[in-house]
Amino acid sequence: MKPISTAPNPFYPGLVTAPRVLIALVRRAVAPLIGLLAPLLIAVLWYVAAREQWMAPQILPTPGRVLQTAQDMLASGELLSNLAVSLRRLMFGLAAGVAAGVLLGAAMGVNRRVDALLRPTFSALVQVPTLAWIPLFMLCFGIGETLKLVVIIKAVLVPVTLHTRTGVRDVPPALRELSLVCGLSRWQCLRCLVLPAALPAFLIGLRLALSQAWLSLIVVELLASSEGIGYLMVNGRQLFQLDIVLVGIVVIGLVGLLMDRALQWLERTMLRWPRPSLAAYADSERASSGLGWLPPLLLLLLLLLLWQTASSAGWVSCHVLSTPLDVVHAFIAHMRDASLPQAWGASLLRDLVGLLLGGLAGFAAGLATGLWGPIERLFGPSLAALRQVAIFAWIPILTAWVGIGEASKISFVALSVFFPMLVATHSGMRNLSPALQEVAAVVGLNSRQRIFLLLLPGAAPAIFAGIHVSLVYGWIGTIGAEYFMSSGPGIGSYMINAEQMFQMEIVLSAMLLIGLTGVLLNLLGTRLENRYTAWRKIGIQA
Amino acid sequence: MSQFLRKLLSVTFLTLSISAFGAAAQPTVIRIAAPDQGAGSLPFPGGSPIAIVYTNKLLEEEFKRDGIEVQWTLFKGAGPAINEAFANRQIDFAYLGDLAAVIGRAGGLPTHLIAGANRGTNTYLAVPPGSTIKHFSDLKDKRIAVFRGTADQLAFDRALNEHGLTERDLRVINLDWSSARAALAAGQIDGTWSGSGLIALRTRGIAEIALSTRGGSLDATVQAGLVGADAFTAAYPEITTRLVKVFVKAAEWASQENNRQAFIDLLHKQSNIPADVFAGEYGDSDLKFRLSPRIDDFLVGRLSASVAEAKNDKLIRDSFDVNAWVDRRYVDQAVAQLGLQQFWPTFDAAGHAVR
Repeated sequence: MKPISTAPNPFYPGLVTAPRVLIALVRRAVAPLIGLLAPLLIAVLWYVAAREQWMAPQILPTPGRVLQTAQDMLASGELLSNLAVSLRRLMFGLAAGVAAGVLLGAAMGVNRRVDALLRPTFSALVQVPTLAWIPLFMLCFGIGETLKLVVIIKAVLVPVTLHTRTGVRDVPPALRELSLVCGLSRWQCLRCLVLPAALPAFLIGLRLALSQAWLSLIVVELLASSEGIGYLMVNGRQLFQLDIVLVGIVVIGLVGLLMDRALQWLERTMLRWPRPSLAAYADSERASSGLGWLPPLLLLLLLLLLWQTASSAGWVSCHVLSTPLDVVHAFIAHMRDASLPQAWGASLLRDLVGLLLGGLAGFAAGLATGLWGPIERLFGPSLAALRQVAIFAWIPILTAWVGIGEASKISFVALSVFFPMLVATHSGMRNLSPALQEVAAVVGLNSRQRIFLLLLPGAAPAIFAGIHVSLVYGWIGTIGAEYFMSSGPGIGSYMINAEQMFQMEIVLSAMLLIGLTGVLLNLLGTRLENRYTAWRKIGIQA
Repeated sequence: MSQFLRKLLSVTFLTLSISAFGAAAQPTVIRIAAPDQGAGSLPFPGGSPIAIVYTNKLLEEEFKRDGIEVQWTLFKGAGPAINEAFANRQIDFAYLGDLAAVIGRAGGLPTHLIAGANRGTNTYLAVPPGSTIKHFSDLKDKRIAVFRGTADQLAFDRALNEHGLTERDLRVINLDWSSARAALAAGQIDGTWSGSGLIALRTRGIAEIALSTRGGSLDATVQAGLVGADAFTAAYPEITTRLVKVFVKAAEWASQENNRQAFIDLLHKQSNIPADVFAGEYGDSDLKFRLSPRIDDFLVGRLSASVAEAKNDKLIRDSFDVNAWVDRRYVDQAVAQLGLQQFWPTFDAAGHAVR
């Protein structure tokens, strides 16, 4: 929570004089209260909007009504027992997902070969929406708690892996060389060098993972469950009792905010060492030249072979998992009759517009909250709370604002991209090295120069990791929008329709296309990152 | 200055009242919503005469000469989205199944049910091939998936009741439609209870239909109707009657036995759902009963029962009087204007024809 330029330097606390201590104390006492201003404003706005009936009372119930419902649900024990169920799922899923994500991300960050090998497959697989995975997951994990955990793990894995990868990759090479020279053992190197250097990026990933875990509860608790806070919300919407949905929003917002603040506190207490100024990193020039594309391709082929054997040898029911050949046939047939490309084009357009709008808005908001302390203090807590609430819960209000047409779908995509982008940008700015800040102050950069010469380049790795994550969530949001809102052309509707008839080869061929698009978008993201952080490669002979 | 202001105000007021008067005579647009139940690339508003109206653009044709635009919005997983759209005043009419319409009305939406659409719709139990479930009594302690909070749940409970069972006698699992299908194919459940779409799984060799409401009492069936927003129907009663008339004409065509095949073909073509799904659903039932748009004792009786059951299952908070919710004026006028009073008999609460 420290503003970038005016905070007393933590390394020289002795310079602070008595009256400044007093002012600082008062500030400290007032600071958390400022965060309450925005929610208060929202509450007043809500009250007025409900009283003046700007929206139908069924869509936006009065705060009084929601409070009453919350009291009833508290009194009957319904609220707490469902919250407990959700929290249990959240914790287990989060723990397992973070562990897996750290391992995967670290492996990809440490070793360029592993990275080149795994990342195309990883980005293809994770972009395929959970909806499409469910039949396969059910086959492997049943319909019990394991299935629910797997869905949460899948959601958590993405941000943790991508941000850990960035963190581990960006360990300053100079320090790495130093550690070699000093003859540090592998363990020492990990503990004293990689861990501290990668921790900030990992913590960004963790915060994103937390919100993803909350969001996936909505999906999870529809799966063979009649309990949990996500179920309450889905059921509340189903039964047109949106006051229950709003109670869910408030509860998730508050609990999520608490967890988010706990993570931030963790961040502050754990990151006690001076942050390294952003270093150059050795580029994977050698990996990308020559036969660098071969290993990932081989991996994909291997997976395909496994799949073909699994379905043709009857390890799994061919109803659930059609053979790759069937899928390829369906793929070609539906590419030919233009139904697949049409659906794909409509979705892609929706995705790109949403990405652009949501990404820019998230970037701007991250910039604003990262740059100016007061804005951060005013909106930070509210944004952190809102971030945890699944967009699903906002659909009624969203459609009331932007209508039931295409605009509502695009805003759905934009919203699902907005928060990852916001967090990544914001944390990237805040994790800048104070040393660089001091240099900027000494050199006398004006604020414009500071943004463009210092802050943006410095936050670039985090921002690009955010873009990678956003690409994934943009697709997921696109499919979600097509699932939850008015129907129209789109690859999500296409899959849902095929699923209705259980034509898995069509579902899988759509998954294939989504996966391929994911790889392409990811490649684009990497290219962009390499291009705009090209300055980081200067002077490094890898 | 104040003189000018007064003049300005009066001019504005005059313009406003003129445009308001103009609006009262005729709307510029009619907005209709329906669920999207298609399985292909075309939107499909469900297996009732509304599909004829939609596919053949009959409303667009009817209102073209008045310069009134007709806007269709189809929703996946329709009920909640359509009720929200009603509340947000984004639609004027909707084709809805009974529970969704009841939930909307119980939530205080200013709507009336202005015509029937299709009724006596069956629900089915799909089981994996080779399942031992042959009778309702076999369901004891079996894992059966149902999507809670939908018409399926009400129909399932009624069918169980009819055979002396309750949900507590079996292990009911809450799954949405596509997850239930996936769970069935993955062999994780003993069966799933839902609409006629399950018949398509039989065609794919994934499931068999073990049980259904067909042949049982009509009490366990699902009804659907056309719901109108009061804001529209009160302002434009003539337009509403004309709109209902278009539906009634389509229902008349579909109700004729010699059009049965053509009707099923149209449904199949628009939905991409196999024709035997519709043929199986309509079976040998009396089309004049199934497709009657009239609001008779059967429809009112079944809707009232749905309200009571929904209240009992805590799906709605407050019950309401169905007799005050239905508005027969439009459909009665439409039927009279088309001279079809004798075409459809009225059906009593048990579903027997009374002239």
